[in-house]
Amino acid sequence: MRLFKLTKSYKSLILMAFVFGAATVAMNLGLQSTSSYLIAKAAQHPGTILLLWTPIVAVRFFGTARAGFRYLDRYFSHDVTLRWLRDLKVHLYQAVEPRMGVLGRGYQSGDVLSRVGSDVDSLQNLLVSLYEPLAIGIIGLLMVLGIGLWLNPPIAISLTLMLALSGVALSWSAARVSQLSSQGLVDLRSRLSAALVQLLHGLSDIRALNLADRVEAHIDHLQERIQTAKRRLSRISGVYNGLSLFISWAGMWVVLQISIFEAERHQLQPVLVPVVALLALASFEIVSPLPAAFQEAGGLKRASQRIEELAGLPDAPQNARRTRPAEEVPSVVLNDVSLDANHASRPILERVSVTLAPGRHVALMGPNGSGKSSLVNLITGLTPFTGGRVTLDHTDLGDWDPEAARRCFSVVNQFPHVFHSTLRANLLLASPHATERELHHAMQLAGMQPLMKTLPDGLDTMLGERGTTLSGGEIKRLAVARAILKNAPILLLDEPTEGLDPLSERSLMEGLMEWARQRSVLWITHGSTNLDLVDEVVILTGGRIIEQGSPQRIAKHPMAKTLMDLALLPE
Amino acid sequence: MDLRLWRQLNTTKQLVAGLALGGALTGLLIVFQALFLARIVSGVYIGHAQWHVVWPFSLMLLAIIALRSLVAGFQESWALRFSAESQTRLRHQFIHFLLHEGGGSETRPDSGALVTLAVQGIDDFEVFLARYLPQIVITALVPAIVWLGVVSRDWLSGLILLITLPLIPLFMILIGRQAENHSQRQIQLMNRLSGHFLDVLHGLDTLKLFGRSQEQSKTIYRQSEAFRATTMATLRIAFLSGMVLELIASLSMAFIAVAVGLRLIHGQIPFETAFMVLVLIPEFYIPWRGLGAKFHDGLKGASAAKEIFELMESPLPALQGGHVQLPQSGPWSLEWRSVSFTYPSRTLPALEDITLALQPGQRLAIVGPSGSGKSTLIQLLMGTYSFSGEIRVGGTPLSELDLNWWRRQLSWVTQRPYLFDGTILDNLRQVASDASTSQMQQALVQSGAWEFISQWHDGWDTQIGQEGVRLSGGQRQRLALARAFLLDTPVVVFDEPTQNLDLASEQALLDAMERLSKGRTVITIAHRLSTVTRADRLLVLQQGRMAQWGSPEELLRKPGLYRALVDAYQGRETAHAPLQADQVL
Repeated sequence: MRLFKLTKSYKSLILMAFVFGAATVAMNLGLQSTSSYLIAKAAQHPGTILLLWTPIVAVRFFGTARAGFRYLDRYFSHDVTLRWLRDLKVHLYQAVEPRMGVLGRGYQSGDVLSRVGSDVDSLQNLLVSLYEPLAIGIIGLLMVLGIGLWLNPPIAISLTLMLALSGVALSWSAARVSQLSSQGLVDLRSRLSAALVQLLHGLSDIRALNLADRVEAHIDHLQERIQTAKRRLSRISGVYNGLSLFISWAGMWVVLQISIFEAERHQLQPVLVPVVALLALASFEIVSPLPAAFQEAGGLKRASQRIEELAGLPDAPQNARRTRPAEEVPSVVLNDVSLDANHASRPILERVSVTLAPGRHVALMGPNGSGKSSLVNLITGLTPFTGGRVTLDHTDLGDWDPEAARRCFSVVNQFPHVFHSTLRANLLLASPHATERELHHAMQLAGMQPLMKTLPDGLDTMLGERGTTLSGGEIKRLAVARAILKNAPILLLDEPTEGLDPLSERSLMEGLMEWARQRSVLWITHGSTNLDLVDEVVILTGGRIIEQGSPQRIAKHPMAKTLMDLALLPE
Repeated sequence: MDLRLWRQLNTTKQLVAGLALGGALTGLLIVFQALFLARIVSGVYIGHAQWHVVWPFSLMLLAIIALRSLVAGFQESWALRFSAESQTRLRHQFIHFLLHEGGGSETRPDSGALVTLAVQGIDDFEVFLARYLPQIVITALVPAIVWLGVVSRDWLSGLILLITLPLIPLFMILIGRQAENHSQRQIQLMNRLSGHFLDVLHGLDTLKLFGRSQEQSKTIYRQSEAFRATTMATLRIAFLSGMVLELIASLSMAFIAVAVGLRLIHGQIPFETAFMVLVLIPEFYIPWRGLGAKFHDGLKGASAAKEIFELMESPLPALQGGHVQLPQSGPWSLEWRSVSFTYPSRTLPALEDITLALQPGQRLAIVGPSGSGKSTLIQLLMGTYSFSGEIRVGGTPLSELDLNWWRRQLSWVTQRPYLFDGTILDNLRQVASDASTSQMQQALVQSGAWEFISQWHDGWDTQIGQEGVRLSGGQRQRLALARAFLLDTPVVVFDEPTQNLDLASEQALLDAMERLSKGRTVITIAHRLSTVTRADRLLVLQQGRMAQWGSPEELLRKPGLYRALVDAYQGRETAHAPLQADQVL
């Protein structure tokens, strides 16, 4: 597995974890065999206790050392797991970061990301739950073989064979059980949980339509089917469970019978018969973790394949790029730009031409689904476009270094991300060296003072996971503050007032346009209000520009009236 | 443990009894297994017996091993089966409660938490029954029986085991508690650190736009390294409990071996007994180790069950209706007289002193922020809960109406319609089983759903849901509208869609709603100014109270929120805005 290259820096730690794990097993073998040897020897009534001194010390040593090694084993294997997790994450991020554009946008990319997340979750266990039991199994088997050969070859060979056999048989049947349980049941369970989610969200609907009994019957029916599947599964796991216990004890039994024969044939000292019995019993500890390990193996393999595939995707081309920054306020010109959707028949954008001259304020108005947001992603180089030309400061966008090009833009994107960190950290993202005054100024312009009053620790308040502590309007205001802090010459605003009431919207837009007087602004909106604040309005619908002109002219356009009717009241 | 857990689930009694029987049997078999093993080994070693002498014991041993495996297998499948059945029953009860007695998800603090409870919580409960409960029973029985087996043969070894016994739970609790204290402080930090990676992945666009994406791999390294450091600090203590348990088991084995060995020298104890004791010692400690490993499963399942029981013990008071069915057909006038309502678990009223009247066939638009009582107002009209004050339909109080009849006079098109997995036709028949084919087609055409259904190969026989066509938000709502057309009720309630629909579907939907409104009393939870302007009456709700009430024209002439909104939408500077919309909406 190529991913293993990641463990370079702590190979020795992994080895230590394995060694300590094997030592734990060895100590148990030692404890069981020396303690049985001790009593076997004692039963010969030796004249003095001194003759038993060595086994007594050995028993105490193995007893204490086992606990110590177990602790070290767990400690090192967890430490190694966390190091591996760390490097895995970094590796994955470096694979995903340059390929975001290739991975696709919106739902599709969300899917990829959540899969990456769950793959990381399963791969993190790779070292501890798959490789360590395997390593210990092999080392342990060799140890048993070694000790056994020293006692008596037939016993050594039969014990090793029994161990190997039970390891393989149990692993195979465990994998089978988990396969059976995942068949059908997984599907049924996901259907049940989907039905439950729909039920809980649709409770009012169900009551209003008097559907409660039918819905209940539907859920009961699903549960009934799950129950049937589980009944079958419980029988299989019962059989498996009993079988695994039987195999390990029956293995001991077989070895015991052989040792009786060997003692009879004087090939084995009788004093060693009890030792062999307990050694055999203890040695099955070596193979007992194997079934669980193999149950995970399939999932781990799929996860690592997916990740290697991801890392193998082509990343954005890196040819000669302009990194020289633009002077003053650069122009942005879109010429016949088209963007084809992956699977839909209709393109997202069709021959769109817009010019954003330095210092101009342009509103791009259109209903939902008209392709407005794609335009922002395309100008900022997040999405590749399929036809036409975009130039920034008279240089083709493709000839720009994407990072350098993005330095020209302050963007409020459609779904700004709030990081699970402090408000300060979320703002400093836009400008790492911003002073306290600059932060407050930006927040004031974005209208964040009412929010600030409610935050217990001010700027140092933790914002919840994915910004769950903020409302939609507050998240947009935060994004506006970030855009102001970045202080770039071109302002790209994608629905910056979404979730705000019309009065707040007006004051925010007035403030922003005033602040951006020396800058260019492209303002994307699905409403037709406040258009008086811009120099020019472009109407985009169905991926095409149907009209552009002065705000006064556009206000009379029927689309403006339609959008007004559809405008949502603030929540 | 929660007493309700036992009371609620009758079968757990069976489960516990079955497990106890299995546990006791296992304990006995372990003792006999050791007994026969010791007899064979000592026969061969001390008695120099040959195989033909010991084979009956060998066969007995094999039989015991087989029997023990059989019991273990039965116990496993028994526990799995009964836990699955109990889980099914609990979920059934919970769903039944939610459907028939509890409030809608909108009445609970967090519908997401409710979903988690119904889906994951009950699964956790199953794990509790299948894994933790059997382990408790086994830990209670097996060591006790093994101990009896040891002490009956050798009291001194029994004494050593007895001395170590209290040490195990003591150390487990001591160290467990310390680990808990330690991790309480760090658990938030750890969660945040481990979530950092996904947070960065989801925020990748934002990071790129600010030119900060490339340096993030360093941040990820730093955060993961910090995560490792904090986690290892916690684990260092957590592992101690495992080590102590291990140490107690190993050392007591070593002690007993030495103690037994010394007495063997002096012939105070037969070898057979000594060997049997040695075989039994590990069996005495193994169940404890299992209990420690399954402790967390147990905790999670038990707390989920507790939460569910608490929810089910606080049903909302249902309205008891009468027997009146209004003779004349609707629409009727609707009248609210000082209606107030408070949810049982809350202190603030959800609705307070609502007084208003609607003429037959009038349209009412309700506006207000989420949580202002809009949905509750509708729930009360449907007669879901009892409340103070009075709602009159055509002059008759709701409490005197036959509520089943009344609910059939009213349809509610919600934002999240419930649709069954099945065909379109099935879904329509579920609500109106006696409707004719032409009526159903009419309803689909009227709602605008026919537009997309007619394009499908199988038309209205197309499967929708999990195994069929996944519908878009706009399509689902048009189907919900079709059901309302089919039901043809004199009173219609709309929850206006707020989802991001494309222009065409949004307009189609609003047009269909307009068609359905004709000749009925219509109440709309409005999210669009245009809907409000078309209404006959407007109610602005704010924290359960009536902030504004009247016809839109009337309200436009008065200073207030509605007028401020209209002004702002029309781009006019509002002359007097006594209310900042931010504070009301």
